[in-house]
Amino acid sequence: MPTSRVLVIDFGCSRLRVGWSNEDKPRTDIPCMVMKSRHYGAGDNGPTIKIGNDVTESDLARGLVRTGHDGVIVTDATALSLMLDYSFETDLKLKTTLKDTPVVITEAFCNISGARKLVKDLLVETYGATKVVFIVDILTHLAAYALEQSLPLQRDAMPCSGLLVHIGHVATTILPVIDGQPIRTAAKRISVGVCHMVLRLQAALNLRISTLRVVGFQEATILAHGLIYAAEDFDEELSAYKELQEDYEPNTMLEMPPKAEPGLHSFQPLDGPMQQAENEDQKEKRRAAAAERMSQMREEMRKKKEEKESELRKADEAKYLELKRRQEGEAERRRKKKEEREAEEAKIRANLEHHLHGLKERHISLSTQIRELTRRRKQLAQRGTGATRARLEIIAKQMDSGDDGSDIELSEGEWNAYLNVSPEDIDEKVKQLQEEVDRVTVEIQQWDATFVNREPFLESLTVPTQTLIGDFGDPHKTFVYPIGVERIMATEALFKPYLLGITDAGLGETVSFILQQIPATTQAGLGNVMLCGGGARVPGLTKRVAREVGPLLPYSDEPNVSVRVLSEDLGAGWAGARAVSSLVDWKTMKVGEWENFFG
Amino acid sequence: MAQPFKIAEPKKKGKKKGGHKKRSDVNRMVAAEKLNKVSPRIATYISIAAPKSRLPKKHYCDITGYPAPYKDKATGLWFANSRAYTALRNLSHAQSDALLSFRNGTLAK
Repeated sequence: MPTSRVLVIDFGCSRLRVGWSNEDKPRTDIPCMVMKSRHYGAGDNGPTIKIGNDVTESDLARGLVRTGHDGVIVTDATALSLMLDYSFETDLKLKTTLKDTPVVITEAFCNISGARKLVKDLLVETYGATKVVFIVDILTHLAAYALEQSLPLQRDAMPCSGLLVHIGHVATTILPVIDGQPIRTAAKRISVGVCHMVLRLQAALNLRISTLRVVGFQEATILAHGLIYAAEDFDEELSAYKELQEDYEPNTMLEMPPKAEPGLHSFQPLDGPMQQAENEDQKEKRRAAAAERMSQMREEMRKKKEEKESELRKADEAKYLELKRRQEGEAERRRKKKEEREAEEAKIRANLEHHLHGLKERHISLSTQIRELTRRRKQLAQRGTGATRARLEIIAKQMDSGDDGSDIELSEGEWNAYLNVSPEDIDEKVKQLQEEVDRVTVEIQQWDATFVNREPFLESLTVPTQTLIGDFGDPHKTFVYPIGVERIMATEALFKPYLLGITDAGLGETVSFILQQIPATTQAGLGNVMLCGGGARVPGLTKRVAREVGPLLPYSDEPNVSVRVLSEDLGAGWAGARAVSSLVDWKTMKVGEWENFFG
Repeated sequence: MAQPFKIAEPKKKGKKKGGHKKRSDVNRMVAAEKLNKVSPRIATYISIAAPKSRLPKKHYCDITGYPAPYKDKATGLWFANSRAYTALRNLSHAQSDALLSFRNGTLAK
């Protein structure tokens, strides 16, 4: 039996990675998505099935996509089998069953045995696997870290101790490891993950921008990479944003033409002749005359009504035409503007570097002007205090000499200082310049998205830009998203899940719950916090976690908490599973046997 | 003696209206293995779920995101200042509902 090659499957909530253990990288790396079209037999080929990268944004929006998971637990073996078929056919080129190939597959921490049986049955019965080993996905990250740092990897002990925090796609799991032994009973899982952060950001973006353009989940995921970060002190960061005073403009809807009011008709009493005593002829004559008059009046009323209606209709048409004309005129104007803009853009694009250089020089000169003006204001304030001092000295002189102040001699310096007290109109100048700088910044950022305008009050905080610009597949269009507090709000859900309506405790609170179950003498070892999973790469998270966890640990003179990200590599889970596959004694394993590593 | 207020009667206990809620796949698995009855010394899928938060909730403005001391009763949205309030009054129903959905749990599902 060739034991050199083990099939390693990392079936995460967001991505599926499949590969051989004797290769460095997984052959398949696709998002966990399976889409089956609803209309059976619409084409000649029957229903279509899309898998992984083929699933588009519109499929996601229609909600037909399955991931195979419910939360972190695998519940849908069909979806997994479809994805594995895809992987085996396209990437692995597997032609036989898995009879002679051992399989290592990851599973969620504290998995339900029913879910494990589901996956095992699939592998054994459908693919004919004979040896399957399950590994907890959090611990594979630790194994990958041990492999990187060349720490000893053992069968029954973890390579290092501390607080293992796995920020996954849908949930965050915290596992304390003391002296190489994971304490499973003290572990906790918060149902907030990366997808919640992305969803929060996506919803905020969709509310901010025009209704005509919708940011999908995949696009939001791309945006989140450069956008969201964790604030070290949330309230302080909020106050920094407050100074930016960004504008919120809710989407304005086009006003519909008002409906024409229906004509109001009122009944008017007919003033006929008084009924008198009359003979039959007279009566008939009168009746005939009245009938004639009545018919005339009815005719008149009908005519009047028709006229009124036609007038109303004409007015409506006129209104409609005017509105249409206005819209058309606007559309034409817009088209012209667009053409002009495009011509300008083409001109600039031809000579982009020169244009950018000029803009940046202008930015620098403006910001230096602002700086000098503010410095001047400061100087003036100092002179003001100098002048008051001079005045006090004069008064003191006067008091000493006992004069009434009629002939006091002032030195020239004192007099100049006294004159310089009144400040110039610096504030307005600074305001105008600031507006100019903002305009120039936006203009530069249109061409160079990496450009950052550092505001002086933001130097201590890490708030780079307000707007994000991107062209998603279409280089001729750029979309500008005004974005502010949402950048930290998205990540804050990890520490305050109630921001998303989730009742779970936040990360800091959950750690305090965990510490209650661990004896105080061993708590100091948990200061070594290890972040892993896709969410660990959110910028600023290490500082924030240190701030949350540090005060909970026992006091010591040295900094008692050190937070680090185990691996920047996204495929660390697969690499760890691959490393563990070398520890398994495949020869002694019986047919269909499975075991769980690291407790 | 007539009392100025009405004494509240205890609510009658009865069956709730509405059909049986459909169980999710995970809940069915949990019920099949009777994980509720497993001793707490063994870590299971249920026992490692994070406890409910006991810390007080802070309110943030739904429009600007800043700490919000006021609430609009008509829409149920929190707001920080007068500027946010004017923006809030100009929102359509759909927009205010979308803002509410950020924190009432519909996003998380």
